[in-house]
Formats: sequence, structure tokens, C-alpha cells
Amino acid sequence: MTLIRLLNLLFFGPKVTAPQKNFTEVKDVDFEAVGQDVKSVIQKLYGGRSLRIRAVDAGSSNAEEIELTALNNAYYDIDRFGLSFVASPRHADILFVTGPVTRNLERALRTTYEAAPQPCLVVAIGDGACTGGIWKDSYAVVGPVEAVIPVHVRIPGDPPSPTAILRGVLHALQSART
Amino acid sequence: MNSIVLTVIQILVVLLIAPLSIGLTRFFKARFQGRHGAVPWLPYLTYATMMKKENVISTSGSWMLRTTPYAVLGSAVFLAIVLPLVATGGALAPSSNFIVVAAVLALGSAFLVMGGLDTGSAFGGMGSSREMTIVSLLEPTVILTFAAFALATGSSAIDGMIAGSSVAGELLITAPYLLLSLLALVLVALAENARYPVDNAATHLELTMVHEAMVLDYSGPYLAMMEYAAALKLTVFALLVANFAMPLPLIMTSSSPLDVLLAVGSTILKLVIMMFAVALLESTIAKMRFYRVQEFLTGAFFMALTGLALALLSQLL
Amino acid sequence: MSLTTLAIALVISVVGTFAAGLVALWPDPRAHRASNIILAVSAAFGAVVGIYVATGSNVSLIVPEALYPVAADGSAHAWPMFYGMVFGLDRFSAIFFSILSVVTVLVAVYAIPYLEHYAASYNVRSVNALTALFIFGMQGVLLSTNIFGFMTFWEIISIASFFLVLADGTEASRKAGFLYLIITHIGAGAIMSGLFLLSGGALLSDFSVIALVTPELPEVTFSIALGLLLFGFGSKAGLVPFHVWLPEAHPQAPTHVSALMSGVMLKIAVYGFLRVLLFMLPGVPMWFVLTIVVLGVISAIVGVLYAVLERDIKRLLAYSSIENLGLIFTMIGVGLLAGQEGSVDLTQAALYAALFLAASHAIFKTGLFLSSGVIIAAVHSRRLEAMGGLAQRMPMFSVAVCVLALSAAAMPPFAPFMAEWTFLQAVVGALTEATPMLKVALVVILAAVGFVAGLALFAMVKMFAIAFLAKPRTDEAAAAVEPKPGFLIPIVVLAFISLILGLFSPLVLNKIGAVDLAPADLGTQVISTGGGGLAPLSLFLVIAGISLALFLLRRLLSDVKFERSYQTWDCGQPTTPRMEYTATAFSAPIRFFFRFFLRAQKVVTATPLTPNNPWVASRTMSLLVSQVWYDRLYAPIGSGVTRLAGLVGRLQNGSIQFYISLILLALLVTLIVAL
Repeated sequence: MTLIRLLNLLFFGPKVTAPQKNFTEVKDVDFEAVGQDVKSVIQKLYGGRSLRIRAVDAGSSNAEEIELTALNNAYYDIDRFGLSFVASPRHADILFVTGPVTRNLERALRTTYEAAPQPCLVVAIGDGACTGGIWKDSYAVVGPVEAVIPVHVRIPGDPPSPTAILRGVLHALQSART
Repeated sequence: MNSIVLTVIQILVVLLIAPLSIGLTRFFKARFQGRHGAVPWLPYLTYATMMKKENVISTSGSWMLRTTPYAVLGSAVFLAIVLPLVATGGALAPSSNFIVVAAVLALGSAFLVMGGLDTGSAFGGMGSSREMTIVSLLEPTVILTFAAFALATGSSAIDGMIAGSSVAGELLITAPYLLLSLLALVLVALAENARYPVDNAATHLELTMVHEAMVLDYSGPYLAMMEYAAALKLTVFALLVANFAMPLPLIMTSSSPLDVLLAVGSTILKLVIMMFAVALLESTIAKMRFYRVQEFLTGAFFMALTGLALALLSQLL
Repeated sequence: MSLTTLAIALVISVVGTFAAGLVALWPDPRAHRASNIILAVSAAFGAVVGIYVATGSNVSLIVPEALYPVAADGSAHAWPMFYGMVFGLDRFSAIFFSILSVVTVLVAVYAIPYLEHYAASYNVRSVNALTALFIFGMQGVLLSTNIFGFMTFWEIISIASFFLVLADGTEASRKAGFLYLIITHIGAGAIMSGLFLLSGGALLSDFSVIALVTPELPEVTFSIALGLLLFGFGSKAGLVPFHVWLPEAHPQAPTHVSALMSGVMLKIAVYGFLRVLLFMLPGVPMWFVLTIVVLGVISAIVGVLYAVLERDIKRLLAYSSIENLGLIFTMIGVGLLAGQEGSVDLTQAALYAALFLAASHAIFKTGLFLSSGVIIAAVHSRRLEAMGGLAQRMPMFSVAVCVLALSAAAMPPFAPFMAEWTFLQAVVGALTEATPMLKVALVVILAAVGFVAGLALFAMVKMFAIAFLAKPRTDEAAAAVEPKPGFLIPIVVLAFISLILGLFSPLVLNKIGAVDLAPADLGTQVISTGGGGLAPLSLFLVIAGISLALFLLRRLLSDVKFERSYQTWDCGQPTTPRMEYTATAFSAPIRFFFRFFLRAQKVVTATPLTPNNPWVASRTMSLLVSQVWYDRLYAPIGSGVTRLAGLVGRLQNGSIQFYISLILLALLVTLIVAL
């Protein structure tokens, strides 16, 4: 890429990224009102302007994982909202949990939650994490995420698109800031 | 202007703009990737958020786990105070002897490595083993590089090396053979700060981590200290390399307040330019596999050795 | 203090050591404690004398004269015994004497609980007696002013340490002791012959006769003598390739004896080498000086590389000693080279740096060996892979060992860093004005010393981290407790001395005579050489101030009570201490990067357990690192000698007539030669 195009990108902004208002201005939001614990967490962490996320796959079908991966690409660009993914739950402020909690991963999920320093938000992504989805009551599944660790935000969908995930998280953050 | 005032100004400026270096690098890299990227001052908010978090201490650790953040940050702050980054001729200028600086760098890395091993996980051990290898094999390169600068400028204190060239600021013009040593210094800076091609600071795969793997088990204020120390080291090295290439204008004891403002502004400009260069490098080359890092280190060593030999030869002429 | 007082104290010190040896042989169970206490007290006397003489400017102590001064009519009272051997202490030997005494005090205190702990493995009476004899021999070497005395006490050292290496009676000790005995005796023979040549056969005279004889010697004889001396002293000091006994013998001896051997005996070899060399200057040929430098650099590099690879803690410390001795010989060689090429500043700086490094090495190496004894007593194994988690269980001890390990790695603000700083700064300062040959040599040395310093940090961090940090890897390590005061106090004292020696190094250097290095007009706070200066105390205060400021800032900015303990992040699956990094794994990158020289081989042997099924087998993996001098140098020599002995053995064919004919032949040859 020539230097001119590079400097163009640097100073006049990228052309690929979806505009921010796609995710921040939502009219048809069907999320529940944000709880008091989310409010206190976000207000303690400077309004949630820089939060670090740890993604835990508790037994999903990987569909939610792929959508989460898409959050990092140039179109959705979760970075510009101050959110970034980290490698260890010790570094994390938010836990993204996907999939219903299978029996094999119940201990791991609990360990991850205990390892994350308080205050920490838990976001259940996808129908499996919110309610158990199509695996509810299966012998291999403990239940939805709230059966193992407390959940603060739920984002339903099978899988929720990256737009939905972003809208859900940002809506929670914005409501908590007010 | 008093030399103590110079040191205080330098401490304030460098400690305040340190998180900006990491933020700028990420911002430029994001733009190169065609993304919008976070604002360059996001790390300030990140570190502030981290200070509010709980400190989860690993049960397999000992007093070493608690000492490491202080030792690592302490060595980074020492470098920030002592090296001629914003001002030359500060109160602690004689302590910037290059052998002492190399030893304090090694001391900070040694504590970082021991803190990584104290967590008792294989990730920490892997990162520690790799980091210790890189630091140990960089030591002769650091000494040879600064020895060449010492020969050329006649001063063994890094402060003197930058302030002491005959035409203030044009070290590379009066002594162009130092370009090789400067390149060796750039390679050393890349390796010490866990940048490409030695390490990827943004990776999530433990097999590709060197520096990240050692801090996996820190949280809260300790994590803030370790990450801030990394940002500070990056700032220190960036400003040092920039000062060797283009030191004007630095604050000296003879400066006026206007010079001070000019120097602070040029420091920020230098930081932006160096971070642009780092981001450009990281977006164009690939990270080396760890077992090929020996080639990188050997290349840096021979570059430094040749630079010293050239410095010696040029004195005969 | 008057000379008489000093002489009396010196005599008390030496006689006390001998008396400690005699007391140790008493069959009473209290003799063990009594012997070590007498040893410690007499060594304390020796320390006082040594430090006084080393730091006094014109003090030189000749014992018979001090005790029986020359009478007014000119008749002196000489000591009629000891074949006219004269004992004396001058500033140079006083430096080494004070090192020996200080180390002996602490080792004697350590030996009391140590030998009580291991009373079943060692014959305590003989170990105590031999240790006292060993120290007596070292004191004698330092005090001897003539060649015959020097050699006698040298042999006492060798024999006493040989028996001490054999002390625990295992097969490995016997092999190590045998190798040690052979090399040390060949070395002693070489020293004796070298000194014989250099003194023109006058063994009962003072060392100064060497200065008279050497200018007259033919070139060839002088070169042969120098080569013999280098081999003799070098083999005792552990120069490559004469060092093969060191990694075998030092681990096998009882730990406090290993500390003495590694900390002090190697310095005695350096002392002997310098003592003889100082009388030969400036006529030393260039090839000799270059050989010293080359052997020193090779020893340092080889020592540190093998220390990095080693998994046995005592062998690691033995290789680290080889590395430090290599550095000392490099500094001596550079000093001599600079003297020959006319860079006078570098000569003084390099020689004093060598002395200071020798002194600080004695301190930290003794401390590290003593602490390895404590660890081995707790964990019952010498392997690093059996240790771990000791920092949680022995906090005070681990802090002291951390200080000692950081000094071993030449980190500021400890003493060995000051010595290396002085040397490196002087080298850089001398580069501008040096002759071309010196310039090339100095650049190579700068690169080599930097390389060695980096890898020494690696080896020491590995040793400390694998032994002390994380979770214990075996049950014995999990059961460890803080060691008894008898074990702990000497180690803490040694760590403290290492720090103090470093912080006040300009003062110490000034007092032992390096007035150009540490000028008094700067308040003896700064070592200045080669265009740069270092103020150790202010450096330490700056670092301590920064740490304190950070500590206070953290307490201000975040809630200290907001803390929780939890297990290490293990990715959700339970981890065991066996999954921690081991010493082999930690040093794997270095093994890989230097595979050209090290040629580490992994050998997997599989023995099938059932005859029909070759897949069910018990597998053993061994990691072998090649030692090139052993394969290419010692093994051929050894097999050659064995073959020669076999050939000579054919002469003993049992036939009387053959023997009579041999006697007749010898008689004929003698008659022909004599007439």
C-alpha cells in the first residue's frame, strides 16, 4: 500500500468499519432493565470506558464463538468502544460465557469466575447460555450459566449476531452510566 | 535552571506520557488494519480501572510474587529518571553510566522472570525461560553498542553521550559510522520491549507469548504496575533512540521556560513518530518463531561488534 | 596495634587451628562443638590481623622478627626449627588471609549443626580434624615466605582435601577423589618443578630469589617453567582444560568443606600464581600473558554454559566457580597485557578488580554452598527437580539466598558487580589510547565478559527460581521448615557482608591500596576509572528511594485490603506441581541455541517387560551433554597411560633370569655413562 493511502487511512479514518451509531442508538431493544449490581460495577470502573473481556466457552456449538471472533474484525471493531479481549481471567473485567454449561466444564467455569478479580460482570451470550437453549434438561448439561455463576447481562440469540452482541453490551454500559 | 528542577520536569513528563506510547502503537496498528481503533489515551483509563480491581494473589506464590511488581516498576522508573530523555544534565546524570543501565535493565528482567516462575504454572515457566534467554543473550550487545557511543563521544554516561557531541544534536552527522550501532540499539529495544519480531504483545496464544505469559497471573494494582512498567520501558527506549538520532531540543541547565515548553512538545512529537515506526514495523513483518530468535540476537550482536570496530577504526583516521 | 600484638594474634590464630584439629580427635561427644568453636575463635583472631594488615599502609609482618626483635648488637633471634622457614604477612597475602579467616569463622559455626545432622554419614571426628588441617594448610601457604614452606603447606591442603572428598565413602566420592588426587598432585609436581627452575634450585630461600634468577635464565627454560606454573596453579584454580576435577570433587565433599574448597582454596591458587608472577614482572613474555587471557576467557564461557545446563545444585555452583575464576584470570591477564602495552590505568584497575572479585566470590560462593547444604538436608536430594516451594516455607532463608544469588549474577548493588564495573569501565576507557593489538584484545574481552555476565544471570535465576519458587515438587520439599539459627545465621551474615562490601567498595578499594581508583578527595564514595565514575551508595539510595516511593504510592492509590487468595490460573483443569517448569526445561533454549558446541543428546532406552510384546516396555530417557575435553583430551591420555602400563607390565614375567639380566644391563649402562 502506498504511503499516501496509508496516511489517508490514518488521518481520515478507515472506510470499512461500520459507523458507531449502528450499535449505540438502538430503538427496538428487548433487553431487560439493567440491574443495580451492574450499575454499581460500571460506576466503580470509571463508567466502563475501558473494559477487558475474557471469553469462556462452557460447551457451546461454537456458533457464538465465531460471532465473538467477528467482533474483532475491521467491520465491527470492538476496540473502539474500549473493550478488548484478554488472555487470562485475572486480567478480565467482563466474562463472556457462551453455551450451556456442560458437566465437563462446570468446574472450569467456576474456577474462571473465582479467578476473575471483583468487580466482574458476567455476560451470557446465546440462547444456550441464557436459558439452556435446545440442550435444556439434557443429561450432559448442568443448566444455563446462572446455575453455576451469577449472570448480569443476557444476550439471547442462536447465535446472536455481532451486532446484537455489541448492542446488548453497549446498552448495558450506557444504562449503567446514567 | 537547577539540575534538580530538570530531573523533576523529566520525571513528570515521562511518567505522564508513558501510557500514551502503548495507546499510540495500538491506534496506528488499528488504522493500518483498516479499523477505527481505540483512542490513543485509552491505556490511562485501563490502568485506572485496574487499580480499582481486586488483587487476586496466587496461592502457590511467595514473597517473590509481591516483590516483583515493585522491582520491575522500580527499574523502569530508575531508567526514566536517569536517562537523558527530556532533559540533559539532570541531578542523577552520573548514574547513567551505560554498564549500570545495562545491569539495572537485567535486574528488572530477572525479577520479572522470577515472578513468572513463582506462579507455578507452565505458562509462566515458558514465558520466563524465553524472556531469560533473550535478556541474557542481549547483554553483550547492549554493552558493545553503548561502548561504541562512549568511544565516539568520550563519555561513559549516556547523559554525556547525548549532550556531549560537539554540535549539540547532530551526533549522526559528525559520526556517521554510529548508524550501525544505532541500528543495533533499535534491535535491542525491540527485543527488550517484547515487540515484533521477537514477541507479539497482543497475542492470546500462550505458545507465542514471551512477556504476556509472565504476567498472566497478576491482577488489580499489581497488573497495573507491570503493564505500566512495560509502557514506561517502551517510552524510555523510544525516546532514547530518538534522542540519539535527533536530540534537539532537549532541556539543559541553560534553558528558558520557552525552551522547556518546546522540549516537552518535541518529546511528544518524537514519541508519536517512534510509535508510528513501531506500528509500521509490526504491520509489515511477521513475528519470528522463538527457535529462530537466536539468529536475530546473533545478528544484533555482530552488528554491535562491527559498530564498535568501526568506531575504533575511525579514531585512527 | 603494635607489631608484637599482631604477631601474637597471628600465632594464636594458626596454633588455634592446629589445636582445633587435635581437639576434634578426642573421643568425647562434646569435642565436635569444642573443636569448631576453637576454630571459629582462632579464625576471628586471624580475621582481625588480616584486615588490619591489609588496610594499614606500611604494615608488613614477619613473625620471628616481631616476636623477637633484632637486638642492639645485631644478633637476631631466629626460629631454629622449621628448616629456617620464615612466616610473614604482607599486604597482599593479608587480603587473602582475611578472606580465609572470615569465611572460616562462618563455616565453623555452620559445621556444628551440619555435622550433627549428618552424624550417621560421616566420621565426625575425622572430618573435623581434617577440616582443621585443611585450614591450617591454607593459613600456612599464605604465611610462608619461602618456597619450601609454600610447597609443604600446599601438599597439606591437597592431602587433607582429598580425604575430605572421600569422607562419605560412596562410590562416586571415591572416583571423584581419585581424579582430584591425580590432577592435584601432577599440578603440585608442576609447581614444584617450575619453582625449582625459576629459583635456580634454591628452594629454601625467599620468593624474591625469583626476581634475581629469572633475568639470567635461558629462554627455553623460562618458557618451560612458566608453562609448568600455569598448569600447576591453573589446575588448582580450575582453568579449562585442567578443571575436570572441580565439578566432580566439589559436590562430593561435605557441604561446608565444599564451601571452603570453592570459596577459599581456589583463591589460594590465584594467590600463589600472583605471588610468583609479581616477582617476574616485567620480563613476562607476551605469549604467556595472551595464554592467561585466552584460558581465562574460555574458562569463563565454558563454566557459565555448563552452569546453565546443570540440574544438580552443587555441580551448578562448581561450574559457577569455574566461571568466576575464569573471569579473575581474564582480569589478571588483561592487567598484565595492559602493563606490557603501556596502558597503566587499565593495569591497576584490572588487577584490583581481580582481587575484589576474588574477595566477593569467596563471600557469595561460600554462602551459596552453605545454603545448598541446608536445602539438601531438607529435601534429601541434590537435584533441582526435587525442590521447589521453599520460599513459602523458609522465607528468611530464601531472602538471604536471593541476595547471594543476585550477587553471584553480578547485579548492583552487590560486590561482584562493582568489580566487574571497574574492569569494564577501565577497558572502555583504555580503548582510545591503546595499541592496535590491545584494542583488538579489549574488544573481544568486552564481548566475552558481557556474554558471560548475561548467562551467569541466567544460571543464578534458574537455580534460585527452580529451587525456591512455585509449589514443591516432592513430598520432602513440602515438609521443609525454616532452618535452625546455626544454619541460618552464617548465611544471613554472608549475604549482609556481600551487600556491605558492595555499598562501601570505594572505601575498601582505597584501603587496600587502589588510591587512584577510589580517590580519598571524593570522600571515598566514588570508584572512578577510565573516564567514568560509580557511586555505589548513592545508586543504592536512589533505587531504594524509588521502591519506597512506589510502595507508598500504591498504598495511596488502591485499597490494600481488597485482596483475595486463589489458585493459579490453570485454564480450568487441575494442575499438579509436576507440571511446573523444571530446570531442564528452563535451560532448553540455551541448549538449543548452543547445540553446535554442547551436542546434547537425548538417549531413550526401552526394555520390554514381556517377551512377546515389544510395545509394553519400560523407557528411560537420559540427557547427555558432551564434554569435549574429557573425550578428546583426558580419555585418550588415560587410555594411553593404561596401555603403556600394560606394556611395561610385560617386563614382570616372573623369570628370575630375566630380572638378573636387567640388573646387569643397568649396571653396564651406569658404568658407561659414568666413565
